Amino acid sequence: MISTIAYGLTIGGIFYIISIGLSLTFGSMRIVNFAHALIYMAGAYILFASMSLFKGWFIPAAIIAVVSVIPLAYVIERFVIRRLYGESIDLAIIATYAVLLIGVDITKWIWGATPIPVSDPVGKSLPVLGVDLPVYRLIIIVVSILIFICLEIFFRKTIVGKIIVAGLEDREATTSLGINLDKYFSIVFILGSSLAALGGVLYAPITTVHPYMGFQVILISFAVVIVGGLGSMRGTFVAAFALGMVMSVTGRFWGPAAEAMVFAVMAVVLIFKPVEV
Amino acid sequence: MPGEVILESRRASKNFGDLTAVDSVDYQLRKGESAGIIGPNGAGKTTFFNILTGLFPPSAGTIHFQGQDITNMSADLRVGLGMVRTFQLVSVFDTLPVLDNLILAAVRAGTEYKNKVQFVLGSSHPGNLEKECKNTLEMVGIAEKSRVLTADLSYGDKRKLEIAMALALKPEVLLLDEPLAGLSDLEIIDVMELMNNLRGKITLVVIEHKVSQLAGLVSRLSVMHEGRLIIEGEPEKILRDPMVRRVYWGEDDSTDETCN
Amino acid sequence: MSQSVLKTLEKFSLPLVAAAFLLLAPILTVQRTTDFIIFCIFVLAYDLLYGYMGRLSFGHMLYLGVGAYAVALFAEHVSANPFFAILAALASGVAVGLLLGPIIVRTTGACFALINLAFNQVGFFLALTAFAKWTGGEDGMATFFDTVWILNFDNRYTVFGFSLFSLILVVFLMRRLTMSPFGILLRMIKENETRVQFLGYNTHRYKLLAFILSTTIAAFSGALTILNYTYVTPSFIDTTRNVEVIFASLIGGAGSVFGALLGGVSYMAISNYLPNYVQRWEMFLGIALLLLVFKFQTGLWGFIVARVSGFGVEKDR
Repeated sequence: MISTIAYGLTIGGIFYIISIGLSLTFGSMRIVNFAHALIYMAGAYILFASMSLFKGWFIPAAIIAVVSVIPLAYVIERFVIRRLYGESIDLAIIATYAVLLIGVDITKWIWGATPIPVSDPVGKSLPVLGVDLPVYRLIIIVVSILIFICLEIFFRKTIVGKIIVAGLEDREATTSLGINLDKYFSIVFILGSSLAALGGVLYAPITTVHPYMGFQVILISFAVVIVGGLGSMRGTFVAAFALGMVMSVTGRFWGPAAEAMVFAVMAVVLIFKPVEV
Repeated sequence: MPGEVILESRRASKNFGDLTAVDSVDYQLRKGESAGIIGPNGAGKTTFFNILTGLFPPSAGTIHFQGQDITNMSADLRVGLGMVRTFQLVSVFDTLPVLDNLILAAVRAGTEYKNKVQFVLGSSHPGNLEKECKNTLEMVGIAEKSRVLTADLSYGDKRKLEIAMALALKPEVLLLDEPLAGLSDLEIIDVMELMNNLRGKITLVVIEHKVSQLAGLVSRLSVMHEGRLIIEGEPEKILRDPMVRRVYWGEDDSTDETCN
Repeated sequence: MSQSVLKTLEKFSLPLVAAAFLLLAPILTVQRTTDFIIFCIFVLAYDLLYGYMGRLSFGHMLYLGVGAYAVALFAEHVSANPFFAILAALASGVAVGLLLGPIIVRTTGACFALINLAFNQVGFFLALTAFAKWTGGEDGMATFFDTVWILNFDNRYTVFGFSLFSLILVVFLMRRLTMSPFGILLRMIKENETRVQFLGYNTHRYKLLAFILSTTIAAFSGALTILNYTYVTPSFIDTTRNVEVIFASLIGGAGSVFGALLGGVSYMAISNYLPNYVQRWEMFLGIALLLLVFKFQTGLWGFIVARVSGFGVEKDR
């Protein structure tokens, strides 16, 4: 029981970290960015590659992974998404999917299609209420909460953050104040992408690294965003942990149903949601 | 001359977060009359229209149509009752030919296609329907452009088309949201003539920014300011009213000349 | 003059479509052509939502799969009469549309795309794991049909003929649907749904109808797929395959029956023959999609129409 809860919180934390970026691009540009899945996957693969460079040292490899996706995210934002923004939401979605396809194929080209395991970087366990819990998972929970607190401060206390929040709430009003929102949304995009890469890095030791890992995770992130409310930072936080628990509890009874259950919850939320999304 | 009350709002309010866009407005419209609502930008005129026509429900208060409470009725059903509107930013279907913009309105108001199978599988341009739509286009003066792609129309012609769409719905009450906005002087003359022809035939409410144009058209003017309905009455009296002049002169330079 | 070429094409579209596929059959082999035809039906189902109503689905394989599994299950448990099985598939298509439609059509844009994908994923899980006892899980199920009258579906030519007949029927239905007031309504919803409500229409109802029509035709194409392959596996509804129909819709030109047909044939031709020469298929698909999105938004049919009517205008001057 304890381990089920702990696992739920762990994947909830990871879902949160990954979903922030998706929620922000959803909220700001109304598009679903499939390339987000690519960046998540890139984070995991770059971690794997640089860990062999650092002889298995996790932290510097993780930092390299998170930092090195920034130019990738910039290129995608600048040359794919921004060029289509305002033209057609549908075409922008298709274009990001195309980017994902290309990225997946390049990944297969470089690393092959076989899943790669990444070992637990801490390896120790901590007894909590009589159950041994891997320290690494507890660290993930703490990291995700820390990120939440940092983002809350960023969006509520800093000027850049406040502008972004205002832009999410009412794009026209903010633009009419003479603020160039595109620039700020670029920041949002890169921030969200770095976090997606971080999510990939943190999740890698728990699952395996493979070229299609992004496809699975983007759907769950999407469910998080729907349940939490588009562009709502706190909603995303709560929904991520709630769905993490749903997945973990369902998985305890019937493993394969875990993911389907998340979508069932999402469908129920959509039914009772009064506003159109 | 105007008959019984046809459309009415009772203490209708609308809040957007902290902002109160419409503040407990009591408004009555009588059958057959032509009324105008004026007020500076941001006075809440369009929001008030949106509540009346069902784009969103009011935060408080009620809306009544012919004695029936329609506060929570959806927009499409209100159209069925005979309440039709146009939009401030002209809202027509650019990707369709001009005539096709009218077909559905004519179908909605007409008696044909009550059979759903026919609506889904039948031809969209049977002769009599097409003729009816052409007549409506004739009324607004763009009949010769019926086959043109709507995107290729001038802004003024699009405005006329939008009014034609509204007329094709055979409205009891027609609500026009700034029908003259963005038009050239020549186009204004056309649209004014159009509205003058409608006067008396259907109940008409016009929101307008160009106050002087309205004076000759409507028999009653209401002034909105900061979400509230501050004064109502005959146009000449309203335009001479010191409070109205202050609202306009004090807050909105662009309308200086129109108050003269 | 060129305008009248288009007009004539429209007028004789049904026999022309039939003739085109009959000509393709000896070139491509009968079974492959049947494959092309069935995929075209699927693209038409997809285009009703995407091209006409402006709703991009990323999970349409589910509805195809519903039809395919309905036929297989029906044939195994109820009756091996292929026509009854197809009716069962159509009924399942309607049922899944009725069940999911009310939730799905409330959404637009990105949400619409992804919620379809999410349900597709659930359907994949159901077929692969949850109902594995009945669906055969990863191995899928094989089907056998009775011969009805002279129609023996073990015969390749029978399947071809029946599929072609079905395609003609669907094209006819699609043309009626899209040229009716309902068709105008769908295009209006694509452009500005709120405005349609102010024309007095309950848009939710019509969106739902379009959705159910689309799922039903998709299920029909799934049923035909089973007739052609005689087996079904969960890979039929793999979520990553949705890009195929999106690609077809884009390359042919969204929002036109001819565009959908052209797109279906083009995609099938590319996917059948190109992998012989190109190793990196996904990369090719990705790059081609980017090119379509950035440089060729009107698709082949839009390109042809622009060319033909462009010449016409020049001549008029």
